Formats: sequence, structure tokens, C-alpha cells
Amino acid sequence: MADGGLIALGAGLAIGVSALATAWAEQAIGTAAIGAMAEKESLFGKALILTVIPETIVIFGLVVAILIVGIAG
Amino acid sequence: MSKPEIMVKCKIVAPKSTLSAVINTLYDLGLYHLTPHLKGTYNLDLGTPLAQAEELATLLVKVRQILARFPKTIAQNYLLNKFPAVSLTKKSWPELQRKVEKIFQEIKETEQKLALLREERLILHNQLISLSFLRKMKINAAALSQSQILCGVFGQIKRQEGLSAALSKHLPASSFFQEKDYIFVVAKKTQETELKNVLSSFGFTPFSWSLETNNLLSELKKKKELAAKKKEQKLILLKRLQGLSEEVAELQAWELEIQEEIRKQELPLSFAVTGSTFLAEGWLPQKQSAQVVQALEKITKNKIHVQLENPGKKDHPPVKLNNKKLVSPFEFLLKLYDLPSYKEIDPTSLLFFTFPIFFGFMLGDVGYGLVLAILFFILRKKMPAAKQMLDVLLFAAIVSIAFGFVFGEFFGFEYVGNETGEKLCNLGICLEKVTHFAGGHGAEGGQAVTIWEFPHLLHRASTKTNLFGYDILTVLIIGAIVGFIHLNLGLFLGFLNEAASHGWKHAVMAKLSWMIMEAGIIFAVLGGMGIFLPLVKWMGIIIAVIGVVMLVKGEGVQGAVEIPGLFSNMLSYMRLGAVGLASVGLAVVVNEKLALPFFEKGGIFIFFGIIIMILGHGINLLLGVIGPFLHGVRLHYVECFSKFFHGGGVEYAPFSRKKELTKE
Repeated sequence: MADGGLIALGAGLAIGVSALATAWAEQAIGTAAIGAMAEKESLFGKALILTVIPETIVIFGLVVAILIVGIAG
Repeated sequence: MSKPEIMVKCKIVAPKSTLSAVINTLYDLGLYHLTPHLKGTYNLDLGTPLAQAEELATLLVKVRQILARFPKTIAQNYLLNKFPAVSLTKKSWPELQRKVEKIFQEIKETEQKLALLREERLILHNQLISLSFLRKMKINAAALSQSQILCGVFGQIKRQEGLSAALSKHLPASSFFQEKDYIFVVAKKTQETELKNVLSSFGFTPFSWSLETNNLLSELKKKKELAAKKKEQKLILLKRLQGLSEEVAELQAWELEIQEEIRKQELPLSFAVTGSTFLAEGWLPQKQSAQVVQALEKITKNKIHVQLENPGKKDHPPVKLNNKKLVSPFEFLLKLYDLPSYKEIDPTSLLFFTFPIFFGFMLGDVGYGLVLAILFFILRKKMPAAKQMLDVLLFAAIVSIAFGFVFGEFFGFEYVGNETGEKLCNLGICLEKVTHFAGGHGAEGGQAVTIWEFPHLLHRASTKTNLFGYDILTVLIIGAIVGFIHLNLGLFLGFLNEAASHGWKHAVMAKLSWMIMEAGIIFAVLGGMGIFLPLVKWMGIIIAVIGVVMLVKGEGVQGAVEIPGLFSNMLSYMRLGAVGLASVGLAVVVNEKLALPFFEKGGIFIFFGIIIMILGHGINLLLGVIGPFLHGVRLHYVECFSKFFHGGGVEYAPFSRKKELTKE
């Protein structure tokens, strides 16, 4: 049962830390994107895309978390 | 996959006397995409606006001045109900000028009168206040106004604290009457200035009050009658303004017309001119070019030279996307990113095929899909401006329903309880009966639970596939496989693009090399796993190395640097499964952890359970639109488009009547 706790902790760390990283990256991009959009509104599409680029990190985090739970448990 | 519509370069040379006729013809046909002339090109000057441009601009300013004075709704209602077909011709033009001038003068005059009335009414109002005050306080106003020794001051003050103290300190001989913030002070005439100084520090506004008669009542009556009369006058003037609203509404239609006429009159600013001829350069869709040439020759009686050329290497023709009606809403997704350049493949069809699949795979729920489909269908009717986007989403919602059947999910439920299942079966809808044991290990200790599952091909949250000895969720593997196919589709399109712009050899080196490398790696892995002979492994490695060498030759070191990127791109498609899992997870939490305990308690708690269900699924639905949409477009823009798409196209914008006008 002790192992189960560690596995859960590992999975939690995988997604939690990667989510923090994503948030950190997105706040910088988001600020710049809003700034750019204030100048030129038609940049909305590109700004949106740039902002969600770091989402990959948290998706990988989620995938890894699922794999940890799946493989270990 | 289609390419943007074929354009031809069209140069028009004609005498200046035909300018107006040519511009009108181009405007009516609405096909000519004009390239503005830059001063100095061919050593030619810019043209000047046609004769009436300035006059029209003045008129437009006046019309707008009039329109600004009336609420917008008046004009809009009129436009919606009975739009008179107005058109600016030589005949209607002076008449319009006269009309505008007349309305303008009338409005100005009425406004001046109203301003005067306002002032008069303000004075009257003050007088009325002072009169009723004097009467109430029983002040002998007539005597006071004629007095040589005393003076009276009446008015309104802002601050009252400390007033009486200040008055008795500075003007001991004064006395005052006060009601609310109105005050009447009597003092020695010699102290009048000092009195005013004291009062002004309390925010005093003086009212005139002096009287000759002492009959306040009759005076009051007189003033009241006068005030009523002035009010009536004001109403009459306002009515007069309102009476103009119909004519003003018509001006709204004229405003658009004048604006369009000005656009025509100012078009020569984009032309090149010599002493007596002009030159216009622009683009026409090849299909309709003959029609334009014919019309121009007819209107100018052949006094025109129109030259059509195919676009040269350095030209950047405007891009007019050329898609079937079913596919065209997806142009919205493309324009959100960028337009393809003229020579590129238009990826709208790719978006049409893969975006709804991605969205559906991520959302994948019959219930959510149905709700969204109905919602988007209604919004589509209500918001014609966002029709393209809603069409795309409607498509995606319908595909979500289909994937909902694949995953057997209905608002996050994958099964129903035994009782409900039996009831449904009695009604003729038999689900799949499954018995499993909960709370123990295997069949021995556990308690048998019977559930009825919705028919499905796989469970998103639990179906696993064994890969390299590990059990991995099937949806994640499907995601990666879809990614592999999608990326290679992108590479293939890139291959076609490169072949069209840089020749076959470069296309093979820069794009096909990726696929060769991939094939090599696949063979190497399969050989290594012992599925094929070990020899295959080495062959695979050799093929992969050849691919890498070709890539470096085609795209330089930069290509080699991007190799790991290809794998992270492929893994990035695992989000197709992961985003879906998050959505299922939230739905299950809402159903089983939040709402179910309430339902089990029964009674009034069922009501709370229902509210929790509605709120929870509402939030999940919102996330279920935003998430799959963003990730769906992102997988295209970032992962797939980077394999072939350059973008930077200029949108085809022919000189024509503005769109919002043609809708009528």
C-alpha cells in the first residue's frame, strides 16, 4: 500500500509541476500576445495559437501521469 | 486539395475622358482587385480624384452632422422596414443637396430657438422659486427693493454649517431667512459687497428677485402662466425636430450611397496618369477576365487597351480561396491563422476532414454532442455574422455524437444501473448486461454488481493496449497513430508545395527525406523487436541514415536539428486522448462523486442533485468546447501546418459595392 501512495505522489508531481511550468510559460506569452493584439486586432488567431503552445507541456505531464499510474499499478 | 483561384494580371490603359465610365464599369462588375500605383513607378505620377469628390465629401460631412443628432435606431428601423432604392445620379444629386441643406438649416434654426428657450425657462424657474420663497416668508419685497438703506439678497447655498455664525460675526446688523438651501439675507446697503463676499464662501448662487408690486400672488400666477407657455413652445419645437426623423432616416440610406460614390471618385488616386491617359494595374480571376475586358471595350467604344498577363515569378497575386460550399466554412479556421500564398495548396479541405474528427475524438459524448449541436444550430440562426464559425462547430458537434457512440458515453455515463437497464430492456432498448465483482478480489470475496453498459467499441478511461510489455491507454496510442498519419499528410502536402515552387529535386530532398527516415526507423524498430529477421534492423538503420543525409542536403543543418521535433510533434497528438480523458474524468466526478450521493438520499436532495448535475455538466460542456477547439486548431497550425504551410497571402478584395450594402 505504501507503494501505491508513492505512485500517486509521482503521478501528481508529474502533472502538477508540468502544469506550473505551462502556466509560467503562458503568462509571458499571454502578456505579449495581448500587447500585440492591442496594436493589431487581426492577430487574434496567431495570438491564440501562441498562447496555447505551452499546453503541450501539461499534456505530456498528463500522459506521463497516466502512464505512471497504468504501468506501476 | 484545391489551390487558390487562378488570377491574371490586368493592365488598363485609356484616355482620361473615359475615367468615370471605366470606374463605374469596374465597380459594377466587382471583380477587379486593384494594385495601387506607387508614385514614380514607370516615371508616372498619381492620378487626382474626379471633379465631384470634394463636393461630395462636403455633403457627406453635412449628412453625418445631421445623422449624429438623431438616435441611431430611428434610421435603422427605417432601413429595415422600407429601404427606398436611392441612387446618386446627375438628376438626383442637386435635389439631394437642396434637401440636405434644407434639413440642416431647419435643424440649426430649431436648435438655436431651443437654446434660447432653455435660458428663458431657467430664469423663469429661478424667479418662481424666489417669489414663492418671499411669499412664504412674508417679506415685504416691494418695500425692500425701493429702500435706500437696506438691501436684500436671495439665492441658493451649497454649505450651511457655520453660516449664521459667519453672518453674525461679519455683519452683526443683518438678519436672514432660510428654508432648505435657499436663503434670503437682509443687510445694510453699505455692506452689500461684504455680504456677498461672506455668502460666496458658502457656495452661493444669487437669484434675481426684485419686485415693484407687493401683490406676490398675482405675480406668481403671471410667471406660472408664462412658464407653461414656454414649455408648450419647447414641446412644439421638439415635435418639429421629431417630424424630421423620417427625412433623416432616408439620409441614412443616402449616406451609404454618397460614401460609395466618393470611393469611386477617389479611385484615380490609385492610378498612374500621363497628360491625357491613365494606367491601372490589378488582378482578375482568369475565369471572368474575358467578361471584364468585353464590358470595358463596350463602354469605352474600344478606346481602351486592356492587357492580360499570367503572374510572373516576382508577382504576388491576391488569393481567392476556391472551395466547395460544404467545405468553405472551414476557411474561417484558415483565415484565423493566415491565408496561403498564391502558389500554395489551400489546406481548407484538410481542415474539413481532420478538424471535426479531432474535435469529436476529444469531446466524444453522445449527450454533449447533442446539446452542442442543438445550441450551435440555434445560434447559427440568431447570429448570422458568426455563421462560418458556428457551421464549423456544428460539424464538429455532430462528429462528437458519432464518437460518443464509439466510446459508449452519454453525459459521462458509460453504463446504467441494474434497475434502469431492465426497465429500458422492457421498453425494447436492451443495453449490454455486465456483471462484475466489487469490493473484493476476484469472484470470491466481492459482491456481484450488475450494470448495463452502453454499446461501445472501447472505453476511453479503461481500455488498454499492451505495447512493449506495458499496458497503455488505447486512446493515447490512437492519438499518436493519428499524429503519425496527420504529420505525414502534412509532409506530403509540403512535398507538393515544394515541387510546385522549387522543383521535384528539392521536394524529394526536403520533404520526402522525412518519410524515408521514418520508414527506416520503423523497420529498425520492428527488426529489433524480432518481428522481422535481424537483417531488417540493419537495413532500416541504413535507410534512416540515408533519409537524414538527404534531409541535411535539402534543408541544411536546420533540418537535422528538427528531427527530434518530429517525434515530439507526434507525441503531441496524444492530447487527442488526454484532453478527452480530462473531460470524461470531470463528467464522472460530477455524476458519481457529486450528484449520486444526493440522489441516494432521496426526497428534497434529488432536487439539489439535479442542480449539481446541470452546473457540473454546464462547466464541463464549456470546457468541452474551448479545449477541443483550441487543441484541434493548434494541432493543425503548429504541428501539421509547419510541415508545408508558408502563408502570407493577400486577400482578394475586388473594387465593388461594400458587402453590408449588397446584403439588402
